[in-house]
Amino acid sequence: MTSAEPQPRVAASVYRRAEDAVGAWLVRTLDTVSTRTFAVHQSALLRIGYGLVFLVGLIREYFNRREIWGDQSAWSPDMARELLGGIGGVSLLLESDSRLWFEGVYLAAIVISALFVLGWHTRAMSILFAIMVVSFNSRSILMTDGGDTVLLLMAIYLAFTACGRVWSLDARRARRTGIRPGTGPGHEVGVLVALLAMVALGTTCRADSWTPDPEFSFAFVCQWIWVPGIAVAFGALWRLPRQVEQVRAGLVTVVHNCALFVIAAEVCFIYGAAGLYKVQGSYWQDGTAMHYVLNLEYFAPWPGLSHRLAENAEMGVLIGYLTVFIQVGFVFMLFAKRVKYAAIVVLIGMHIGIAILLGLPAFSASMSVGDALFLPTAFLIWTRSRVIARLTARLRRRPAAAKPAAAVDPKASAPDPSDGLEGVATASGRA
Amino acid sequence: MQSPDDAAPGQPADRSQPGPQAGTTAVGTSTADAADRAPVPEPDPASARIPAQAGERAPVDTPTETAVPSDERRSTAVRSISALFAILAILVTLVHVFFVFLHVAPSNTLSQDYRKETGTWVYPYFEQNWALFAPNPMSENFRLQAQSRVRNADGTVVESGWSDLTGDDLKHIRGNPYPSKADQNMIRRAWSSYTDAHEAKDETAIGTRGPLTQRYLRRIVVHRFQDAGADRRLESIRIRVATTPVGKPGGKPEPETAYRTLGWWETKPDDFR
Repeated sequence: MTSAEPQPRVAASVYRRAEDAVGAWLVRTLDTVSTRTFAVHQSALLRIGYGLVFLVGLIREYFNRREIWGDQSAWSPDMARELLGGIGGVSLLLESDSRLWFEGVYLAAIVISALFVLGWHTRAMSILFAIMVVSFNSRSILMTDGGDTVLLLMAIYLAFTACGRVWSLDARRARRTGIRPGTGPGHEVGVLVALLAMVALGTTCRADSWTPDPEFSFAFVCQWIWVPGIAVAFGALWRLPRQVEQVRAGLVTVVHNCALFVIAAEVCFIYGAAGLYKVQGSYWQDGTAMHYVLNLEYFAPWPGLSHRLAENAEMGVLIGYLTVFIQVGFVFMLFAKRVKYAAIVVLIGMHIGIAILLGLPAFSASMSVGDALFLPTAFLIWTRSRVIARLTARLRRRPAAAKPAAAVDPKASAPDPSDGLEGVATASGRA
Repeated sequence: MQSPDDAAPGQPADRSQPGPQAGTTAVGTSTADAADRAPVPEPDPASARIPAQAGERAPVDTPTETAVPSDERRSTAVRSISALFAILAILVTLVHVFFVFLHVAPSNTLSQDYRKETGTWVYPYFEQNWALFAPNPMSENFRLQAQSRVRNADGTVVESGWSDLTGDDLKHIRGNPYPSKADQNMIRRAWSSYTDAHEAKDETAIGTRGPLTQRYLRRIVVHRFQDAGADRRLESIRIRVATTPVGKPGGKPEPETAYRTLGWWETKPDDFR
């Protein structure tokens, strides 16, 4: 076998080498996706962005809340239950018809979104945030538009990511105390919040009966995940054997990476599908689409401006074609760096236009936050440091104004009042 | 956005310190940690600037290391189990992306073959439709208008004129940079869900959603009349929808408005707020 027939041995060794190479690649890839957390800053930005979109929406609709989701809604709770029954939808708001429950959930939603933006016990908060977004969407499905759908999808996906590793209260706590995300002493508050999240999840998504539905689906997972979830949350009170810790960390990492891939795919699907549907339309082909869009009364907060723009036929053709090209080509542009950034700039310009001209700021904000996933980390950090530098520079110029500005800062919640100004000042020295 | 404020008094985190740091930044951090009691160090003007190089990290930009550092040595057993989990997660991800793709893409042979499986996976959480202003944007504006019949105490019935409910919404939308869902989506989507569930020529219901969408529309109108001062003597309502084409660019010929008038619908006691 050693030297008898040279020919088959060469063939075998080539095959063997290829096999080894593929095997090594596979092992390396699987190791990487379960140890390296990708796009930490981008996911933190998505957390802040989508949290703010929902929070601002809740505050904006505060005086219309009963008409849209509450007891004065034309879409009564019974009608909502009838519709949701058909598709297996759930909503925490439909647990009770009492006014008190509604107001309580509304307030809770505001608090949860704010804490999610700040990144306080982010994992548990992200689950609660997703529950709230799902609940408000399902309660009044016929009140939603594309922006709500984007927010709903991203809220669910974000619950699978580690979106609080940076730019969050969690990160600040870890820096200060040295207690890292994981299990063992020092995570008691987190465990408590996690248990609360599991109870909320079980309440919202619970099955009608205790017999598990044999049909495996995401809805089925949501119905039962709280059972192991409670066990896992409790288990985090103790320090586990190192190997269990490592497996747990690996699972968290790989789920994060997969969820980010899904978010990226989702953004591409949205643009791709929107583009492919438009390609089929005659108005987008003959360049008159913008004329019709700008003449729709429900999407014209500034009719004078819209009509004037609609009259400009050349501009209409140009913008219409640009929209379709960028949407269809978005997924391909991602593979070329320079083109990608140009596309993102054009898209964000497009979204600003949609926000102002069509009166859809929430939709535009949701889409722009999704685009931000594709921005480079260095750019995000640079922007962050600029923003903070500007803010603190202004603070130091007018020390009297420190109080209101500190309220914007999460540090306002710091127990020691003396570290407020000091922190800001030193921060500016650094940033 | 977070602010970088780990300079506050507290135990300096041993392992959470950022790794390699550029000159000015590292100086800033260590001064801050040491200056527990001391007054704020006067930052020199140069370091008060933004990092000269994009990507230079302040501690606040450094992600938290988890309890298990990413470069920690892992036994073969741990690596194997992790790899199994990774394969499982990747498979679920691919399945999810596949079904969402079938759900989102324009209808095709593949999506028709997997219609049932796609529905099971996608509903209710991942339902989505991205035909935004597509294939063609709407080429007409509609206005939902309604009239009421009120029975007075003496038994006479008074019929009102048409009130333009969409017109009221548009008044709220115009000049508003962030229009409310109640103005922008309520009537618009209620009407489109009604037309999806009803035959245009004789208003018979298609599918199972018919009664539900009709009830929704009726309740919206009753609520609007209530807002305008009607009470429970409101006996029935009637809806008509005025549709005006946007018209081709150039504005000629002058578009004509068409009406679709529905029958009189009696109000139910629980329609009222």
